[in-house]
Parts: sequence; C-alpha cells; structure tokens
Amino acid sequence: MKFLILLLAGMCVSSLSAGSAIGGPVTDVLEATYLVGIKEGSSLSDIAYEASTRTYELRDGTVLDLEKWYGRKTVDMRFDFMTQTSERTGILWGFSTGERGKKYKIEPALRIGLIGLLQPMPASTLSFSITTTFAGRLRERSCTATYFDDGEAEPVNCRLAATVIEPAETLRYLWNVRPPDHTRLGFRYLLQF
Amino acid sequence: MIVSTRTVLFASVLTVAAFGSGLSGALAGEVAPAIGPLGAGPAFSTSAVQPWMSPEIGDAWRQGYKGSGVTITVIDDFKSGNFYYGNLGAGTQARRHGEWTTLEASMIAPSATMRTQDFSSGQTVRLNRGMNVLNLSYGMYAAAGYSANQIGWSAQESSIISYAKNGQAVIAKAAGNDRVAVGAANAAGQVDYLNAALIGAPTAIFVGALDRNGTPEQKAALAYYSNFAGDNVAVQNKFLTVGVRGDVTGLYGTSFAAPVIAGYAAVLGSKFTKATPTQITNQLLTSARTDTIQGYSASIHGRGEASISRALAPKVIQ
Repeated sequence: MKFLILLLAGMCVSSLSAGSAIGGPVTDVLEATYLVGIKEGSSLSDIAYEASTRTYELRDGTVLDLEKWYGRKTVDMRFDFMTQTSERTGILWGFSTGERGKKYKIEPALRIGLIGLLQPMPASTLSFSITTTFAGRLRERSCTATYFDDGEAEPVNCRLAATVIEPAETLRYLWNVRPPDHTRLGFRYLLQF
Repeated sequence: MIVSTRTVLFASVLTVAAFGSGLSGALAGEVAPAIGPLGAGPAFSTSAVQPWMSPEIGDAWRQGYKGSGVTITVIDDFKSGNFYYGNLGAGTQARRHGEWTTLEASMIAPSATMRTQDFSSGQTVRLNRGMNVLNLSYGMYAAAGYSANQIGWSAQESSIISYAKNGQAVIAKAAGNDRVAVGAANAAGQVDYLNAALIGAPTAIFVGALDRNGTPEQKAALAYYSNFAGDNVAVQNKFLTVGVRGDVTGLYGTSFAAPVIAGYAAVLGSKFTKATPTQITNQLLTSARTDTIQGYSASIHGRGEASISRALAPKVIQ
C-alpha cells in the first residue's frame, strides 16, 4: 500500500507561513523541525515490482516466476523533513530506507535541500525549493545460466536470459539507476482570492 | 556400383491444385507454368509476424536480434521454369521453389545473410565465416536396396553430408512428402538417399510438417503428406516438426517446414555467437515441445514441435 501524508511543497509553504509563531533565530532545532512527508515505495521500487510480476519458460518448459528474485524483502520508505531557519527559509532533508530483493537492492538515500518563501503581494506567496539526493541507486545482481547440455555456466541478466540477446550482452542491461528525482528544483505560486 | 539419383522437391502438389491448375504429380518439374516477372508483387516488411508463423517468433524478434551474423544457404531450384503460386504475406505471387524457401527462411530470420545455390550445380557448397545453416528442401531418390555410400554423390551433396557429419553447419533437411519413415522406401519403391546419408549426422535435422502451429489448447497433427520419424532412434532424435499453414499460404509440403528450422537456427546463432553448429542443433532438438501435438509419439513426431522461445531459454538458471 502506498500512502502520502503530505505533499512536500505544499506543506513546506504552510510550515513556513506558520513560522511567525516561532520568530527570531532558531534555537531549538527539534522545535523547528517538521515532518513533511512519509511515503512507502518509490519509482525505483515500482521498477523492481514490475519485474517481479513476470515469468518465462526455461528450455524444458518449466515456468520461472521472477517473483522469487524480484519480490521485496523490505520496502523502500521515504521520510522528508523541513527544519525552519528563518521566517521565510528552511532546510529540506530526509532519507529513504532502501529496499532489497534477492537479485536487486535500492540503496538507502539521503536528501538535502533548501526552501524559501516570498510574498510578492499580500494575498500571494511564491515558494521555491531545491533538493539533491545522495545514493539511493537501484542495482541488480546477475544470475548464472547454462544453455547447452555441454555448455558452461555463464553470468546473465536474470530478466533477459531467455530473450534473443546474447547472454554476455544482457549484462549491459543490469539495473544501475539513479533515483529519477536526484536533483529537484521546485517553484510554487499561490494566489488567494 | 555407383548409383545415380534424381532430385525431387518437397513441395506438395496441393500448391498447384489449390490454385486450380489441375496438374498432379509429386515433382515440382511437373507443375505450373512460369508467369509474370519474379518479385513483381508488392513489397512487404520481412519483420512482420505472419499468420503462418508461430507467434513465438515475434517474441524472439522484440529485442531486434533476427539472425544477424549467420548465413543461411538454400540449396534448391533457382533456375527451372517451374513456378509455384503462394502467398507468404504480400499477396499471391509465382516463384520458383527455391525462391519461396529462401523467402520463407529470410522472413523467419530477417537479419541473416541469405545465399542460394541451384541444386543442379553439382558444385561444393561454400561456407561463409561464422555460423552456417543449410536448407535442403529436396531429396535425392533412387531405387531401394542400396546404402547411402553406394550413391554417386556430386561435390554438392558430398560437401553437405560432410558438413553434417563433421558438425560444420546446421542442416535443415525436409523430411519428405511420401508418408513414410525417414530413410524408408516410398510407395514407388524409391528411397531418399540424402535422408539416408544424413541419419546419425550430428548437425542434421529432419523436418516434418504439422497441420498448424500447435498450442496446448489447440494441438497440431502431423500433416497427412509428411514423412515421419519411424522406429530408428537415430532418426527420432534428430526429427523435428513445425506447422506448415498451406491453408494460409497455398504452399504445402515439408519443403516449407525446413526453412522455418533454418530460420530458427539462424536466430539462435545470432544469440549464441560462440556456439557450435552441434550446440545450436541440439538446442533446437532438446527444446522441442510435445504438449502441442495431438497424440505425440516419438516414432511419428521425433522430438516434437520446435519452440524458438524455449530454445532461446536457459536450461538452468540461478
């Protein structure tokens, strides 16, 4: 099940707007830190899940269910926080727990960034944010396959072993994917009337 | 004593009868007159899965590997004035027997290098660099009672038999249309000695025809005209079947079964670039399925129906 408690940008705007209750320099980091989002799963997690739903036949017709290799043992959980540094600025930070299956893993990730708030007119706000993610790659392990009765075992991409791609060539398609939102720049304009 | 043979193509007379010529006989030389310029029909994509093909071939093509790096040499009739009507997807055309079998193999393995040699040439078949596949949709007939080594083979057949025995090329050999076991005499007391010479050769595959591409739900039966494996285990172990949709193409006969195997061998060769012809041959044989054949029997269907999907798959993976 996936759920999203709060939309990151929207919540940050709200949090910064509420900053007037704090005022002055931030002296207590804990008091100035807000949980702005929790999410189960990720786009990388979805890639692995999709692979887990596939099957193919081995040479003798035995059906190989990829769920045994790409089923999740743990699920990637993402936590996002904002620590307010002034009435109109804050630090965005967070982390992901990572995910693991028998033939893949999503590394734990750390995110950090900034958010700022402008008020061009009394009834409007403009927020901007930038975040970058460290680590969090989706990586895949190879399988070992034997094709011929008199052949030797060789490393292959587990997902592509039964396609027409040359076994050694399949290794080029092993996952090594950065999180798609590893650098994120956001703007949000809100006009109230 | 040296025995001479006569060459017989393995296209069924139904090829002609279906188009109303009314001719009969088992030899290509007895059928339809030449009509129109060859290749005058509409161009069509050789990468489209046609109704006569097994749907498995489309799965095999998805990654773009379609026989590249492999040479298919078709030894067949490319010179006679005998033309067959057929339709492999571009509308009804008239082509020579060899032109049909070459087209068919090239449609299964569109990226393969295609070579042709007229079967009356008598010349040694030259192999190209890399993996080689030979398609033989003909037989060499003489009266029963001889052994294959009593036949006065030309340099052409001698080279083919040598390649098969030495594992130098995959040989897709049409089983024949006499409704007899491979190597046995037909109703006229004639034996295909090319079949006989290839029995037991490591890279020779005898290809019989099924009436359709079978599935576990809609099983196929051996085509009524097709030769079968028989009781010889050496033949059974090297006998494959594929669907020949004469009802769709107008082309009946094991002549049009062998090019499918030639194409499959090329597709396999493009994946397993370091494999030997013997390994490719065995991969096709060991991956054949029997659950798509009605009343499967090794003495009829040999190893079963060829499955390109399974042939591409690992035996073991972990």
